Amino acid sequence: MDKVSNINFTGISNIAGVGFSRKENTISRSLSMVLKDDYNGQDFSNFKNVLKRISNNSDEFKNSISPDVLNIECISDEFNNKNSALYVNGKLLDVNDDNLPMFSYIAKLSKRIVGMNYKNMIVNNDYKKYMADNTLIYGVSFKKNLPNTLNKEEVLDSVFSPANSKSFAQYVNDFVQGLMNMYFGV
Amino acid sequence: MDKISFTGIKNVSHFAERFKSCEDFFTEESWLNAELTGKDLHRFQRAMKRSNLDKKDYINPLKDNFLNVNTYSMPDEAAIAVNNNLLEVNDETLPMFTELARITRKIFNKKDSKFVCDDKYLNSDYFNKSLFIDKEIDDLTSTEFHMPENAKNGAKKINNVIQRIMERYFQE
Repeated sequence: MDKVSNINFTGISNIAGVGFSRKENTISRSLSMVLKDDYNGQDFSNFKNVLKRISNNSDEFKNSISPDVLNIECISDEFNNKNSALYVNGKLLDVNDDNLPMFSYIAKLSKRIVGMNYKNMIVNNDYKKYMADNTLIYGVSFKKNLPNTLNKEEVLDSVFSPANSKSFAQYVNDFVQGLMNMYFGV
Repeated sequence: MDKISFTGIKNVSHFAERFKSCEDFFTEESWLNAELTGKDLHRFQRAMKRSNLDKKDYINPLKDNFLNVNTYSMPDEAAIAVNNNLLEVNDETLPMFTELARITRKIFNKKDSKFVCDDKYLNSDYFNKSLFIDKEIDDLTSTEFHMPENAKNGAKKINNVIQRIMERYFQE
């Protein structure tokens, strides 16, 4: 077998999922990843193209840590589903016609992650060591918010585990579906 | 008193047909026709423009401000046609799907007393032709198709099909 064909170039790497709460009675689930352009995919360019379509200001949804990092956060009210909201790189993505291409992009992206093979879900050690602390939860240090009783490195490993990332991707997909059903439904 | 003029969605009719295919599953075809005026017409035209749909392809062949929606659904597939032309689903046409969802939602939530069929429409050929465009129906059947309860059920059915199409699109 050709060795090169065995290498995966999905354009999506360092996928992680974290569940937390920003304020009382709300639950956040955040899916983060790094997008890049490579032989088989143009994931970073595709994301930038969607940004261009939905906003006149290209910096509006840009990740402040690094432009190729994408953080999707689903916030829901514990007691009221109607207050659900989706944030892209820390900015609220309103459900309206203008933003539908971004919802469509996120639905397809999360679906792709759900369908990825475990062996293709690559996590870069440098990213995990130097960047993840500030990219997993937008605008907040991940490690600083963990209780001291926990082994922080172990927790970090677990949020990058393929099974965990996939389950968060599925959650994001269901969440977008829910928002779309409310938007289009009677 | 001056004559009150009605703006909004009026002259709504609907018909649905369900049949069993030779492969033993049910398929359903629905038709809904409405006349759009005022803001509703403006919003529909704006959605057409935003979805980059060519006006000449998607304008109603009978009357400019008529909206005719025809849906076809079976267990794993659904399709929708606007004014006799298939509406493809892609990022560009999403505003039109939103608009169709809004119109059907508005019809479904209308009070029965707000269902208007004006005299001009009732006395015209449109009353018998608007629903199927290329097929004329008799007065009695057409009256049934224009009853508020029937129109509301139709709007709900079509809204469900739009939701299914959207669901599938966002799941691809």
